[in-house]
This record gives sequence, structure tokens and C-alpha cells, in this order.
Amino acid sequence: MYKCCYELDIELPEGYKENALSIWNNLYEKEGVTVKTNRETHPELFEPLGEMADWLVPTCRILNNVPETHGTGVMHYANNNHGYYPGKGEWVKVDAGLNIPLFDLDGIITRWWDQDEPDDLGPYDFYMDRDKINHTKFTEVDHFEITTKPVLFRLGKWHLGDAPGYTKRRAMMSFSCKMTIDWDNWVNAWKKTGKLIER
Amino acid sequence: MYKSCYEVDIKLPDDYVDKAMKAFDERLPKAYKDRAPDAHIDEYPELFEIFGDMKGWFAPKVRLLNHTPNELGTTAPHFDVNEHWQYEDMDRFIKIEASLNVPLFAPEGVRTFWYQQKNPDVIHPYDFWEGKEYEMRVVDEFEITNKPVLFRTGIWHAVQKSDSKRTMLSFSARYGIDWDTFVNCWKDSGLLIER
Repeated sequence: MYKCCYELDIELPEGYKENALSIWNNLYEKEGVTVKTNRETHPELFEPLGEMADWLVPTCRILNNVPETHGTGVMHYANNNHGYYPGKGEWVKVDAGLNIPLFDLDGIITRWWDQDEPDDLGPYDFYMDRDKINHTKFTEVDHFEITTKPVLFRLGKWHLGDAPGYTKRRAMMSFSCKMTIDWDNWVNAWKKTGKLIER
Repeated sequence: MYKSCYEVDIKLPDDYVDKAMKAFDERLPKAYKDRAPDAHIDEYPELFEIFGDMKGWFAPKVRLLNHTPNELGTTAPHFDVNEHWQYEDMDRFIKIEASLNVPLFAPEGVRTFWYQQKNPDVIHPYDFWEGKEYEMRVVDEFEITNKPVLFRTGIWHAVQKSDSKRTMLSFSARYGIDWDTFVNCWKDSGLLIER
């Protein structure tokens, strides 16, 4: 199987991070915990990806939460709860994405997991019951520290940003692939561009 | 990436075909007109017993295929979604990412092909059935013969055209189980045959 995260050799234009955080600031009051915007309103957020942006849905998120509070510090996988795939239902999984870190280096490691047992689990289970993780068996299949480069990010597999006790907000652009694009397809598409950095 | 099909070393009891055909005959009148019949584990537990301890990895419904690929429409690229409500009370367009197929037909040389998109086209899961075409790249091919197989149902795939009836049971992995997890759990069981 492919690894669950790959850095991309993409340069961000000067001011990209500041612009994204400014958009987040403007939308936070209205949108709350999860800030979304789209390609039509903010094409500049997609521009560093060039033609590869066409593999993504137009909706993107600007994450800026404390990981263990409302964020990605709890085991989860991504589903269609932000309307990426109109008309397809909330429980459709979002398999593949691309993240652009907007945070200062924080040493947080993202880990991806396989279930060890065939437990009947939903994507929100570990948010709703914070003790459940202690009674569910997983095997880690990959881990990676996102630092300064954009990364391909496997969204549709159990993962978390391992940040116990971390109290600061962690900002990141999160783009999602179109519904029919699975993780392997996404990795292969980027390998062909020559911009994927192998691990 | 893993391959899209692996044989597994599961022995079928002598009367398994009879049980499967009995279920097919009983369930056919209750099937949706445009879909193969299916059977629930509560009513047909004997169909699931071949998996032993691995039974828990499956959704409670098995699809009962007894059609030619041409009849079933599987000769056009498609991926499987929750149209048999394998994931009860959930959305229709959830992908069935992984399955285990039990062939009950005589091998006839028909291969299955798996594909990736070459371009970022917006494709509806049923587009190919409606005659639309998109550029695809073959990423794996395999002929199912007489062993049960792990079968990647959640990416584009198509069966070669054939007028031979292919009787097969298709068990869907539980909601949330991705292909890599499914392959890994069968590797751990020692039953997966590497290719």
C-alpha cells in the first residue's frame, strides 16, 4: 500500500499564509468551528497547485483549531459533512486530499491506522465518546510530521494529529479530491507531475 | 499500492453451491428489478459460515449474482455503491470499498480490469452505463477462477464481455473499512495468497 502522506515540491507565493489566515479571520465569526470557502470566491488559494487543482472539489476548509478540542487530535476519517459532494449524502467518505500548512513548526505527528478488529465504527465515534479510543484496537500504518511543504494527505483512513496537551490553534488549508478519486489514483496522478517527493 | 484482487485460501463445503442457489431462488422474486437479489445474514447465516472468525468484517447482506456480465452491466466501468443497502440506513452513494467474492461457476477465461482516471473528470458512478466515455488507465487485471477472492469494488472496474452465466456471492466489507485495511487483515489471517 502507498504511504498516507507525501510532501510536494510546490512553492507557495509570498503572502499565501497571511491571506489564508485573513480569510479565516473574516469568516470565523460567521462560520464557527469549521471555516469553508471555495475556488470561485478565492481562486488564489488554489493557484499554487496549477492544473492539479482540477482534481479537487471547489470547496476547501481553512482549519485553525486546537487539535484536541475541535480539531484533528481525535481519531477520525473525513466524510462528506461539509457538502463537498452535493447530493451524495453525509456518510460518503472523502478519501484523498491535499493540505497546506499555515502553522509555525509544532512537532505534531499525524498518524494513520488500520482497525485490528471489525468493530462497527463511524467517523464521529471518537469525538462523541472520548474514552472509546481506549477500548478499540488499531495498528499504526504510517506517521508523518507536516512541516512547511504542502502534502498529499490520506483523509479516508483513520488518522489523528498526535497533540496531547497542545493548546494552540493549528492552521492548515485542507483541500478534498473529487468523489471518484481514491488515494492511490491521487498519489499516482502526482507522481506523474514529478512534484511528489518519495519517502 | 496493493493489487486489486487476491485469492484467499477458504474451503467451501460440498453443499455450498446448493445453499447459494436455494438462497438465490428464494430471494429473486423479492429483488429490485434493476439489481441482483441479496440475502441477509439473519436469514441465511449458512452463507457466511465459511468465514469463521473473519465473518465480523462483513456487512450483513450478501449479493447473489447469477447472471452474465452483459445482463448485470458489469462490463462497463463502474464502482460499487450502497445500492443494496448493505449499510443499512446510510447513503446510497457510499462506496463499497472492499468485497470478497465467492465464485461458483466454471472458469471460462473472463478477466476483470481495474482502472484509475487519467484526468480529473467529474464522473457519476453510472456514467459508463449511459454510454459516456472517459480516459482510464488499467492498474490491475485478474481472472477469477475457483477460489474466493478479495475484490476491490471501490475503484473503477469492469468485467470482460461474456454470455456465460457467472454465479457468484459477493460479500461487502463493513462501512468504513478501506481496501488496504481489508487486505491487511486477510494477510494477518494467513489466508491471503500473494500475487
